[in-house]
Amino acid sequence: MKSKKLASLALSTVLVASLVAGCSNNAGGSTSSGGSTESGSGAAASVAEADHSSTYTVDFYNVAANFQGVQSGWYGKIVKDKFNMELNIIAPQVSGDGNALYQTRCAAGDLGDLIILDNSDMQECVDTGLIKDLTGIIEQYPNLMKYEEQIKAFNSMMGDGTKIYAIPLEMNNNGPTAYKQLHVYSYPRMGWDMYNEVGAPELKNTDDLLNCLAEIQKAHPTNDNGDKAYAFSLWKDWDSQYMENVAQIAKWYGQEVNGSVLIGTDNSIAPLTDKNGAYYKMLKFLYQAQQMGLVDPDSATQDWNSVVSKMQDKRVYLYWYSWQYGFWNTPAKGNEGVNYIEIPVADTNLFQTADTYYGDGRVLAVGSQVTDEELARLMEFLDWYASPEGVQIQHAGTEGLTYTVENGKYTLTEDGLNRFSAEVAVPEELGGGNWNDGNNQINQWIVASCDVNPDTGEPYASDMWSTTIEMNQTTTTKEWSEKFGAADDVEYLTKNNMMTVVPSINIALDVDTTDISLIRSQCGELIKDSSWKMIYAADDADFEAQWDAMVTQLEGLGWNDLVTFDTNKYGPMLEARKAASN
Amino acid sequence: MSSTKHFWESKKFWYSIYLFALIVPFLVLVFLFSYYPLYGWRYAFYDYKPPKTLDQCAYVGFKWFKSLVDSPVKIGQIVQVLKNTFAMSGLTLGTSWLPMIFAVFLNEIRGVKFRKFVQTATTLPNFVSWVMVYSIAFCIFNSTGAANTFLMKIGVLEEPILFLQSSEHVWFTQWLWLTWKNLGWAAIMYIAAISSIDDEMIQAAKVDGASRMQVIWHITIPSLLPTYFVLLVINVANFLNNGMEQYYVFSNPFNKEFIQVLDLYVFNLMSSGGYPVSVAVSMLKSLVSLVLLIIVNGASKKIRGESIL
Repeated sequence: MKSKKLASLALSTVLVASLVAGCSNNAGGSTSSGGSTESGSGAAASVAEADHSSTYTVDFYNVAANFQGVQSGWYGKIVKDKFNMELNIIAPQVSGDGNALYQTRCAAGDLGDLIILDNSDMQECVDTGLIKDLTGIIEQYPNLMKYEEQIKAFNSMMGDGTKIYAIPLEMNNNGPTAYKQLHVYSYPRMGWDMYNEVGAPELKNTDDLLNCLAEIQKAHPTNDNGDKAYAFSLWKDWDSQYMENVAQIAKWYGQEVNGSVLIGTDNSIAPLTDKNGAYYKMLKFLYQAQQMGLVDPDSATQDWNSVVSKMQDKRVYLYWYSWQYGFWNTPAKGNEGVNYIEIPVADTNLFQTADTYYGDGRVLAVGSQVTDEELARLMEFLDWYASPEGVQIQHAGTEGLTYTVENGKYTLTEDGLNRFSAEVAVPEELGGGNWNDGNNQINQWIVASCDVNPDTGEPYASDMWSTTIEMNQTTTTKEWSEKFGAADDVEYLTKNNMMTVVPSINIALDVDTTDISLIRSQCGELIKDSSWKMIYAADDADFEAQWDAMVTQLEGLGWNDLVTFDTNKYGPMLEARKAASN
Repeated sequence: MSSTKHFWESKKFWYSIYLFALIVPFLVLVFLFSYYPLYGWRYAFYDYKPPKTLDQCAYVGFKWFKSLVDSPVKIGQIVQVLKNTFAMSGLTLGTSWLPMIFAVFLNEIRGVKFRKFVQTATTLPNFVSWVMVYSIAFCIFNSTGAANTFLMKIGVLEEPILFLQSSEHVWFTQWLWLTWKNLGWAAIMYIAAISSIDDEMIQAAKVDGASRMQVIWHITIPSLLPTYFVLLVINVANFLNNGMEQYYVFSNPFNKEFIQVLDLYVFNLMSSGGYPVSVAVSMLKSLVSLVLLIIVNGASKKIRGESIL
């Protein structure tokens, strides 16, 4: 009896003790985060020697990643072999609720060892001491210092402007107004065979485009396997404060959506709710497409990954991003004349930003809580990530598997050509698995693919190698050039004044106050929900009524304050653009 | 030797210490999980925005409470959210007798194997998480799902129906999902209560010639009512807390207007950066729940002569 009593007493003591221990653990956690705030502001001038003896799992908070978990496959193996590191990618885009993830991690004082954020978020994180000061450290890394001008330009807007905190991403050294890409970023793109099959109609405007797509879909209601195919397959997981699909195609008509405003190629600024604006126009365009039965019924419920597999199965007839080609096009298909390619629509005025000389609006930084040993290893990794070797691996894979070198010229292998559009198996000794699954899941790089590789004198991007360009001269492109009288879409659109290249600017803009941030999120929810509903509107009157209802509701939520805020916020950017284009 | 005995020498004192030690773990738990979180209410009074810490933010008093109702659109939104909350809770409350009746009928099944099967089959869904329930729903009801494929194969439909995008009967369908998931589980308490009914009463009634329905009506159900009322009072106190998981997984732009209950509204506000506002809303919610509990308890005292507080 007595022993039983003792046992119960002991048990309850243990319970209490464990609870208290749980508390004190918490308390410990928050103090340490306070401590790290201090260490963040103090600059460590020297770096310890990188020690690779133990495996280092890097928590990589990454707003660009479409993958969550430890990087595996061939890229994971390279990083592991070189640095004895594992990249544990924390992806707010995948986690389901990115904002909550961001806020809880910020509150804990540890966003990650490496951090990729949008410019404005980075600014806030620097102010709150979450970011390591790299002044005096970054200078010791020659590959990063090749982009010193851009890094310094960006960091002059961080903190007090004298320190280096963050590294812009997608930089190049070609100059701020260069546009070296082979294709424009967003434009209507269709299968060349299908376009010809329906008589290669001349497209004057979006109505013609819809009719052309309707013809195509009528001729091919399914793909060759008998799966239903549609002109448009949309996805909602990239939506932010507006519907991303609409925002991307709004660029065709000279405006880019930025927060609550539309910024024009003429440096004009208008609210997103402007009925003469491109957002309204293209939302209506998608609504008309839905009325014509051209929109995949899964659109509102599927995610990006389902769209990818549909594109690979040719179940989507209209692309807009230039990189969507990777999901279908190959030289072989090009010679059959079935590659996707730009189809000019006469009344477009494409909003095309120049190559991102100063960076693309996202930046990379190191968390302030990392130790000196960890910092040394991270910096070593980042320097490699910006080195010709690292950049070349990033943009073209590994020598032998995806490309071969002959007389200093790089040539894609068959596997290299198909790496995005087919399942390319990677040999076991290189990490095994599927090439695409093992590809770099960081999904952002310090050096853009249009930058020139000093080893070859050609850009890093495999599709810009002279060998690839030659290989890509296919029946599709030859016939296209013949019909439209231009070498490629960039030339055609420039020649016909159908696009405007806007200088690339990368500056940190005003950060939302709490009031604006609440208005922004409430308005954003409403715009997204309403946009999706409007695409499925019953008729024109319903569409109009829903738009008006949205505008009225937005005003009640404080929309006008938000537009004023954003108009002021983007002012400096427009000024910089005007200055750069003069 | 000494005539005075110190209190710590008394057996009774040590016994009460021992008894207290037994409940300490639970007191700590209650404190940690029910009272300590109230400390977080202070966020409602600051201009809090991550990644800043609270002491870096300005104190703003009742600004966020006022901001909830500072325009007709916002009031409209809250009214709609409350309507949804009341509708869903109302439906659940109005059908809260279902598990009891289900338990009673289940108990009447003579075949033990069949009864056990039904009980297990209806209890299982309770252990399926809402995310899984949604994926089941998605597999069955998406545009190429089982339901649409079947209906199109037999020629009832030409084009698939987008069931999950429908904004019609949202309250009812959500109630159906909830009932499917909870019915068996909720019945367990009643099944336990039924087994504790004195068998002599039932035997006596049968000797007096009572039919099966009469036994149910005059013995089983009255014996279950106390249990029912306790659960009812708890339910009423939780009127505003209908949880958010279910509505979160099922919500999309098309049904959001009708599916957004208070808890989901708070969550949506919070996840998009409005920490202080969402704390303010949940503070108000706690207050309303407390008032409801007191009212219902008072009513219960008046009507049935017993209270649960």
